[in-house]
Amino acid sequence: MLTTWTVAVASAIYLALLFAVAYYGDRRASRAGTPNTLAGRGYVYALSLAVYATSWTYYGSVGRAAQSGLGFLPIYLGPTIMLALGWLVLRRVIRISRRHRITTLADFISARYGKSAALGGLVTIIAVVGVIPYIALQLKAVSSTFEIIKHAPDGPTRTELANLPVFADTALYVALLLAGFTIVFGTRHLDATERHEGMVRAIAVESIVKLVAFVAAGIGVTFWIYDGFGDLFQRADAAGLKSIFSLGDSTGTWVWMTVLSMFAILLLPRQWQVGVVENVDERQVKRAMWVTPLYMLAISLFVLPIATAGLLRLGDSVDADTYVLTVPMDAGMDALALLVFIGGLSAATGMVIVESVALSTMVSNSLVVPFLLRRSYKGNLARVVLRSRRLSIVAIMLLGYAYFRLTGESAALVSMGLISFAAVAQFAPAILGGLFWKGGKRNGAVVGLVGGVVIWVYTLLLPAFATTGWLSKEFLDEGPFGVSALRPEHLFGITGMDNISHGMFWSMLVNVGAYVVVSLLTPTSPREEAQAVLFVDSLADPDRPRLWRTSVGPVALHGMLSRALGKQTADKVFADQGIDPHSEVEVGAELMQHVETILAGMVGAASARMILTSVAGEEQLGVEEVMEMLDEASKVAALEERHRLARELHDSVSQALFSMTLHARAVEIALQREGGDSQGAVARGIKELRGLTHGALAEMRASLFQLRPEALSEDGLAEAVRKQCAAIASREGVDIRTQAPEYRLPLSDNAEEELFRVVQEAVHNSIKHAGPKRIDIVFCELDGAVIIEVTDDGAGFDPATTSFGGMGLTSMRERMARLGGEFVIDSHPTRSTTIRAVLAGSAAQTGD
Amino acid sequence: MWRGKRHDERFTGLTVAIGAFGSLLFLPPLLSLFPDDARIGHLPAQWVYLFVAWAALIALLAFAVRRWG
Repeated sequence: MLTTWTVAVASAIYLALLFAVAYYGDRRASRAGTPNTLAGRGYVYALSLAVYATSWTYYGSVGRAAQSGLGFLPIYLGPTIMLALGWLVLRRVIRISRRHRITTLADFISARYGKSAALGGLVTIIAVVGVIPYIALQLKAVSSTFEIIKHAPDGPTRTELANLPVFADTALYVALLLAGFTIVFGTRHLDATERHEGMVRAIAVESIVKLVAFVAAGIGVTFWIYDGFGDLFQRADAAGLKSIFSLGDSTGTWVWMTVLSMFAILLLPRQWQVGVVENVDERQVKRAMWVTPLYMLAISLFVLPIATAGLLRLGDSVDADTYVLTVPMDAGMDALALLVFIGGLSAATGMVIVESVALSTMVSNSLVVPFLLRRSYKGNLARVVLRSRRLSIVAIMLLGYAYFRLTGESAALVSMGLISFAAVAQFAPAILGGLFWKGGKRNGAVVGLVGGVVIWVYTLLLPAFATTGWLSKEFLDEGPFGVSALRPEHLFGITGMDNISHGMFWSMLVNVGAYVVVSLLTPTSPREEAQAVLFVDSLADPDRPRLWRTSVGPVALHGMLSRALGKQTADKVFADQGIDPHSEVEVGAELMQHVETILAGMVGAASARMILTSVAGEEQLGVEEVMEMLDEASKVAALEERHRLARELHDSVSQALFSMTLHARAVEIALQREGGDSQGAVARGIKELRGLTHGALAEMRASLFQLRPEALSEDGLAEAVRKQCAAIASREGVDIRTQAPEYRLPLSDNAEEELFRVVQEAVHNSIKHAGPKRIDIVFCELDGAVIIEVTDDGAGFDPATTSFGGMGLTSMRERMARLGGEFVIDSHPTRSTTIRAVLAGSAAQTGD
Repeated sequence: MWRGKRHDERFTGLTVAIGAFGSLLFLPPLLSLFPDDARIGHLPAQWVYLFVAWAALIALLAFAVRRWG
């Protein structure tokens, strides 16, 4: 039989092992140059997303299955659907968060709606209040399974569990132990990315442990105690266990559960932490899209069989939530029971650790720092942030514990978890709306959130309190003040829905409705508009608009940074940017932006803006600036349209012209072979036709080139010039020859662009003024310098006496001056002309 | 560059279609395809249906990632 000591020692060893994994993971991450393979990391990422499966899955699913058959399944089917949409939704969120250094869900919402600090605070409070019951249920699961083992073979009575003295309660020690673990791995140091590689590895290991333990229990029960699935279900049929063969209460409940869990896989603070913040590479999402659902399938497969076995063997004598543990214990499989306990411990610890890291970051970034800033706090922010995170971790654990103690044995695991799911689902309109709808406004998000949460409290949280006896039952049954239309679980007299569907229906109605209507009614503010464009068009990737229009001196900026994050960090930021903190020049918008993102990574977007505003003053983002940004977005659209056009012209007209030249040539040859008159009208006509098509083809290629400005950087300068000149040659009847080295000349994009214009201008000039028969363009590289010569055989001129204005020579000279190159005209009235552009090595590389 | 963007859009579109197909499989009316007392072998038909459909969906996703991802 399992003794308390065996269990305690095994748990201690397991937690120590976990600690080692996290420690090793952190060490590995901090040693530069030892990146893991992307593939390996993809699996770690996918497994860490499985932190979704907590004690709730582990014990609670079986409890729910015993009650309502397959009704537990939507909780895992929803995430599968959401992950299938991962490339559409999750990837976008990751892209935006990376770019703006957003490290929490509260920060994301606040950043989307104009970096509003109030909104961030609101989201944080909702998240903490909403998730506390969920943490409580993890503690409850660990504590009650431990008591079961302790009291084996009889099992603890409900009164025994409810009256456990605080200091004899495992849950308290588990809570404190986990708080310590979380502080060590979650808040060791402040990092702008808020990544915790060690923690993620530990979570991935925990995912494997809980899966192995649960599947082992499933196999043990199904194939050891019974004779496989068929035998088990046949006996259930014979025993008349109708409940396990149903789909739950109603299909309405099923649908709502699916929707709820779709949101939960993305919006629970811990899911956001592992899915978005800890994501290292967007491509990991692709692996998670199928590996995480596969994990959930594997862990759900044996739920119904275990529930069936529990009902058959134990029935009502024990809590159905504990069947996973009690069925193997009842069958005398002690080793399996121990493994199951460890698996359950691992499911609970994983959840609690990640959840409290996520929540504590939110609390420090969205509540503590804005509060301090408002009080014009001048001390070292970094230290305060770390301390407030550690404190909030302990506080969150103790709150969870308090909730667990106070609700006692009244609530089943599943109902506690679903209340949390419904709370975080309130973020869905603001986040999903904010991702895809530019019209979503801060006011809409605030009113929607507040409305949704009020309904959530009224229809779900208060009734949960009522079942614990904190509120009178009458409140539930007869409504407040006896008004039956306001009964929390039957608002306006609606019946026939379970409490979760009912609460979700009303809260989503109010939340989505208010978000949309208020957003539409609110006038546009420039900053919000700017953020909306940045978020919704995150994938279009225009150059990032610079949002800082006011500026400060480096001294003030450096002083502020050192106060906020310590002198070392401030020095490093300035050194990285190559700026002397003591210089007098004004800091550019780019550095302001850089400092803002760094601050945002540490203390959140809204706080970062508050800090910068305190030194730089409130910037005025006017209508023009926003129009400019919108303009950038429309430029991207125009560019795409041009690409499409170029592609189509290339595929259709160019190809046709090309075949026409070939055919014309073929007809010409055939005519000669058949002895036709080579000087006759037909032959001349065909020759002319061939020339015309040839010219049209060259023109077409040149136009395609013009349609795609980046063709220059794709093709390289020499090739681009060649294509362009082919068109001119054919149009003007001049022989233009280009000579260039086989390799691509070492030029920066900017230099290529300017040189291209110079050559274009030179050729154009020559044709216009010199009337040449032939033009030679030579590109060469000599001692690292790039030399380009354009020589014609037409009439020359005297550079000393000719005015350059009308010949485009001035603009050529200016272009070369901008590049830091040399521009030489070699011409004489009696000779031909050569124009030479020389760009020394260093100028060719930087060129700007 | 042209190919990259089109490629990405195609992958997004396909996975969204797979997700939509999944919701079709897991929600009514297809959900209620089998009555509670239907059995395949001795196994509950609904249980078999849901797990097979789920596995098929995951396989489809894995294939899409391999082939077009």
